[in-house]
Amino acid sequence: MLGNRKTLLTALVMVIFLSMSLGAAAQDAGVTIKWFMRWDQNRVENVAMPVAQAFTDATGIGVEFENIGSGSDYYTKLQTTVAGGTPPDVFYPATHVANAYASKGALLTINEFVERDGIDLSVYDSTILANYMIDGELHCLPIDNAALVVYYNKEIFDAAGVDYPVDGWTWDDFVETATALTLDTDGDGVTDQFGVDTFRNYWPMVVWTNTDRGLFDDVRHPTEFYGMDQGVIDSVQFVADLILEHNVMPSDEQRADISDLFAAGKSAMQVVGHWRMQRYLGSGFDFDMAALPLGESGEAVNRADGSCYAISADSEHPDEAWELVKFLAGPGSLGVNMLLDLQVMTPVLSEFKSDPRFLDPELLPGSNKEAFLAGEGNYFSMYDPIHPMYSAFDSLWKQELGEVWIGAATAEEAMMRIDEEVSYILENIEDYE
Amino acid sequence: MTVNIALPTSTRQHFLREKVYPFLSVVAIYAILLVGAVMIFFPFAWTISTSLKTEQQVLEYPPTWVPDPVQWENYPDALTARPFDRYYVNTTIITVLSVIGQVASSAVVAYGFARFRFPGRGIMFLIVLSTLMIPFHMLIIPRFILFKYLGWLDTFAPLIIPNFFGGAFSIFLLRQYFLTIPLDLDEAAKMDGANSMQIFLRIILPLARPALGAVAVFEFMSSWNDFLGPLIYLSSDRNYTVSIGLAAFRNDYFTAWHLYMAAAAVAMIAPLVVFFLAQKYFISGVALTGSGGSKG
Repeated sequence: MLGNRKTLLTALVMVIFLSMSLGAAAQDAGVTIKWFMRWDQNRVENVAMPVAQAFTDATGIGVEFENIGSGSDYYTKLQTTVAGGTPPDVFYPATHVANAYASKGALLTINEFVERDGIDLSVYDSTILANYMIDGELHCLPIDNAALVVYYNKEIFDAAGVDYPVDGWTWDDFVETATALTLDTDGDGVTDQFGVDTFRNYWPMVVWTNTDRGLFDDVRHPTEFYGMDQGVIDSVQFVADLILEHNVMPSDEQRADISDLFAAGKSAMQVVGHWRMQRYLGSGFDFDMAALPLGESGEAVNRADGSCYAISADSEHPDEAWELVKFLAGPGSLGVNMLLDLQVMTPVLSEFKSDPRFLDPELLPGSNKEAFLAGEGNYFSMYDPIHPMYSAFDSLWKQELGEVWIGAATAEEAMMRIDEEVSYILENIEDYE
Repeated sequence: MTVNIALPTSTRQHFLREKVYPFLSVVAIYAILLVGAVMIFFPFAWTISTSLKTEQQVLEYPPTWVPDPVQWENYPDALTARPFDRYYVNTTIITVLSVIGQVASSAVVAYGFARFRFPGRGIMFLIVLSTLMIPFHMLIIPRFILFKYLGWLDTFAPLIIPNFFGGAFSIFLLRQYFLTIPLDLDEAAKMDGANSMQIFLRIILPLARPALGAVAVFEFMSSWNDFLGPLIYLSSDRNYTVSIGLAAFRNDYFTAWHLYMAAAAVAMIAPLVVFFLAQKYFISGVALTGSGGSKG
């Protein structure tokens, strides 16, 4: 019996030892930087891997690359590693996430590195760069902004005899165009082709075009919410009416969970950013881009938020991590250079904005890539305010506007409820800081 | 001329009771089972259908069921896009060791609760059960920190070792089953000179095979499908599991559904085989717990 127990105990210890040793990471003698990303496989294989290798070749610093494609999974892991004291050295937060981490002291300020290496920050768009500054301290080097355009399927426009969108078109023109392109081709009473795929979650963009301002008085230190502003209410109702009144944009039910009606050739237009272009290039139809329509303000607008490369405040190798960040997002960086060839982003570095590979790519000769630059100088954050209270606001509007999109509430009713809740949040904003 | 043949009332009632009602009952049962089967089969069929479509066909609206052309190459494409062979091996190691650990340790603890009288037994059992009420998300960071100090990050240890300390659900399920085994058997064995460990190994465990099988199947499903654990604790590609490999096909902006479904269909094979081999245990587990198998 004793022998049996010993055997069992030995087996258990062996199993534990085996489990601990299985998959144990090999230890490198030199410095290795952990680089944690949330890219698709295309960017991982064509940019991240070659850039990491080039960086190691150039500097002798190793790069341990990890990628989680889904943003929510990425941030779950990032948050755990940061809280657990083992964050990656370099990671890739979106604007509002970078600010949330920076406000909690989880990001290294990079001013000293910038000054030491003489980095000219004027080559970055100033509005966009300001999104990553807190009290004069820079926490990130941005690489892109999530600029929105209207993609349009030229073949669908040609078939319907509808003119292509032109610069300076308005939301009225947009509705007129979308209406002409919404078709019930087989006459069964069910729409077979929509004027535009859904973009309702970008409703703040419509607000900017109409009011030429964001949703709060101060994007960094909000004290007042403009939800009851008539321009805001009308903008939200306008988006809802595209579904409910004009029937040019599909409801959830009509979309049937198809991830992209434009890619499927079932909508004539799509309001989205650069990140979808690869997909449309593989769709086999002829398309181009137009700038966002103008609203009541008459001013072209676009998104300021995007993503940046940040260094963890707990990094054991901050100097080496900074070298990698420079390599990825600094002026003339190889990282952005390689991304340009993929047609996946709108760069924030001025040298790349005017680069022919961005403006006149071989993959899309003669296309209106300048549409991505429309609204330059009049940028707003989609994640407004850039403040830790954003997640509470985000949940709130998604819940309340969900009613508006299905016609169960008017924009005014929903905004009234949101305004009430946001007022309470703003009164107790220190709870979120 | 019409002839009306009226059956006597008692005969008609007898006919209804003996023939019609049972027939209708069988029809109703089969109809419910059929609806249930269709509901279960629908996602599986959709997975297979999507796995054989082209990227464009996946986007077709309205969606189509039958792929045209049938894109068989999605399978090799998906399985070679990432090192799924390694992911399978990793997942198998984690799952097999987790099942062994969970079943062995939970059985020992459950035996203690079911057969031994000691001070605080009720309270301790209550404490074990109360761990079921702690949301997993609350444990993520404390456990992560613990495993960091143990040097277990980016190894399989955090996914396997905790299973060697039992699981509240498994302990509860096994304890309840052990309680149904008559004490007379233990006493008879004692009279024959058996000690507690011998009773456990030679009497209790053989009689509790359905419950042990149910625990094993639940643990297998839980470990095989676990996403959050590997996501948090593993960071090297060579250590990834199948669930993490599948996630590579999707991101915030785009999901390669045709490849995702092809890899997912292959990933389903192991759980399906286990289910068919151990379905009687699985069903007995459902019966034992009165649940659909939620491990909590």
